[in-house]
Amino acid sequence: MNIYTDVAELDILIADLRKAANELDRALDEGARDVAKGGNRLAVASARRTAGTHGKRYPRAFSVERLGLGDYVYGPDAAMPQGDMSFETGSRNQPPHLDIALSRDYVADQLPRKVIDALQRVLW
Amino acid sequence: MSGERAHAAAWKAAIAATWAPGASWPVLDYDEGERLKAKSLLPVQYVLITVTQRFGSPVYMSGGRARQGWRLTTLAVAPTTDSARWLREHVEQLRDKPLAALSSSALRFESENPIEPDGDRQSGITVWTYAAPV
Repeated sequence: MNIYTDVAELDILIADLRKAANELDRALDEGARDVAKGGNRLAVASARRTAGTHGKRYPRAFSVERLGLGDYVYGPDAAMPQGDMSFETGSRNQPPHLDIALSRDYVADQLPRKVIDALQRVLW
Repeated sequence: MSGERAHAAAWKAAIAATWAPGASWPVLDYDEGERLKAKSLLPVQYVLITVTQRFGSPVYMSGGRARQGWRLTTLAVAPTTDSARWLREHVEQLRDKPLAALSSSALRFESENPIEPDGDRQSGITVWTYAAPV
């Protein structure tokens, strides 16, 4: 079998793959951001339910922060009012609320799906 | 065995069985601790637990469920950081091992807090996950 390749077409393929590499970074970053935002929303909803009158500022302390490419963190910001209080893990006088652990149960499985989505968007 | 009461009882027994022979530090629910505190009968050191079901267990196409995910928290409470570590070390013996009484999967570590001052004691929580038949 012979394969005839026009060099100009090969150049186009190389350019496409280069572009895909850049686009993949962005697509994966967006996927990770969506998961973190979704997780944060769930954690806030749970915190609103569990914090009670004692921790009424706690749900508002939650935020999503980008640490780097595809690297996001969410949860209560210690600099915000009540953000550094130990609702998540409780104390010996108060059982743990586990708002973040609960949200993670929901969103952790979404990340692999987002990676597949990103690959499909860029390569197909 | 299934149901939250059965799970809590099984873990209490399993954790209490990890102490060295002769030691009998109680493993309590949070409200049990509160009640003992009100009566000034709170022991020197103890472990507080919670057991809850988790979302995200695999579901059959028919809608049924073979296994249910669970989350166990163990809070080691002791007068000093060192003795809290001692408690934690003993609970740690259950790590990555199934609990026969529940026919459960291995107990997986999820997260942990450093041992910190907590009222007049020191305490640190460890969060675990496992799965058990429904």
